[in-house]
Amino acid sequence: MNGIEAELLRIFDSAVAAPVALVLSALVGAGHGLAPGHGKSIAAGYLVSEGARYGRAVALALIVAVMHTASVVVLGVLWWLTVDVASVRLEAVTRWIQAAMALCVVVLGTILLRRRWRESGSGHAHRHVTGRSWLEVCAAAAAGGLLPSPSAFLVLVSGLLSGRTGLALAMVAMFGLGLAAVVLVVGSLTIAGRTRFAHSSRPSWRKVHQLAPLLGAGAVVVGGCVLLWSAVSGLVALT
Amino acid sequence: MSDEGCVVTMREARSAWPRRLFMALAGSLAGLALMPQASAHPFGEPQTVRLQAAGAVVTLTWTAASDDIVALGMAAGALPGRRTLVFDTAPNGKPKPVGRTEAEMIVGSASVRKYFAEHLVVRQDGRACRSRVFLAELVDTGARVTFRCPKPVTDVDVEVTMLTDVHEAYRTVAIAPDATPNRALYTARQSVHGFSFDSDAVSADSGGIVGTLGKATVAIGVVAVATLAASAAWTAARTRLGRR
Repeated sequence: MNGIEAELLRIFDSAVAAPVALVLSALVGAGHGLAPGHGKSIAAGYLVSEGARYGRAVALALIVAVMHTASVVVLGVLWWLTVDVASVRLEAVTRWIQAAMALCVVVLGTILLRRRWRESGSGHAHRHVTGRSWLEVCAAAAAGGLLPSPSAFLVLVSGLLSGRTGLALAMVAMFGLGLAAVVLVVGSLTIAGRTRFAHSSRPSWRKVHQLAPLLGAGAVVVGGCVLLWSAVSGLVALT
Repeated sequence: MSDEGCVVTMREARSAWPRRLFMALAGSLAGLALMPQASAHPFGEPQTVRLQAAGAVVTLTWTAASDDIVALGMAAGALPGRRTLVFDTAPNGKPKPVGRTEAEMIVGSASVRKYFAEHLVVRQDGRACRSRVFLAELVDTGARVTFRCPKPVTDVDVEVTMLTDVHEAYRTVAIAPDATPNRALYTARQSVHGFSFDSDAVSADSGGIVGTLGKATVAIGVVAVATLAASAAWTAARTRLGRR
């Protein structure tokens, strides 16, 4: 345990005032989100593929924050209720969560790729938010929010055992918001970049903009496949 | 944008498919380039010490995730700072590790045994109970350390400083189903807890904590649904305005 992961625990253990602890937790969450992974590329691929606006990026980031906090709480409850019997292996649970998350992303990527492929062939583009689209936003957010950070989980466990559950929960929520802020920044930059390409005077840039949705969908598919490979390898290693 | 401007002929669409295939592949490669490291991080149990008492003997069973066991091996000096893994890569079989595995090095190490004896301590009436360390099942079910105390065990102080010398953020959860308190947290700042193995002891109430977590889960669910509903309503309103 080292680096930024450990900082969240150090903040919880320290005697800093709660508001300071919450602000620092958000900063640590953002720092954690800047590390490779955490669904940033999948979120960017999804937003490009859907030709999304900034509102969708905000919604995606908020879902990442809520999903991360919820997953920490659910794992915390599961651990608390089963630790006496030790029949539930946390590593197996988190590996299965990773596999489910990866499967969501692969399915999402496949749907997007199929849709964009057909659209680019026909020249039509019908993009509007439907009930299914919201499921798709959740699937894209899953890559960043479904599997909790180990340090956030440990903070919750520490809160449960030291009688500071409220502070631990608030810190975990702020950590999730910090993580989501990074996803939002990446998503917004992606959208801004796509807009820049769209309004470019260079024909080659506009051509790239036209084909970007296909490129984004391809990125989501491959990102999901890499995640799935990692999850399945981990599950095989456990058996 | 009108549909007229978007529609391309079937011939143009057919001629464009290699370009589309190229862009899909380019996107895939970009995704691969952006995803080289673990984007999610499954993790195991926190360091845990389970306490049991029978007569004058207290038994502590230490379990941890595999990376923490490796950290222990390195902290105790059983594993070198620069680790070298050698595999026999036969052409028609799976690669097999050559020599002793890291698990074997840790389990067979006298320095790891000494580390456990120094970092897990049970005291009765202020005097340390004599310990014996059993590492055979360290990787599978955990290391077992028994403490023989002078008198039958009722009240004991248990000190745990496992891995806090590696990093102060390490912590250990104590689980003692037959004692009061039945759970405790060891950190670099709080390394000693007293446990009472009195059979009449009342277990700590965990219902309140689970209730708090339950309420938190419901609150998160409500926030999630409200966020989704608000976002959907906002998008629908914008779409309607756009149509007008």
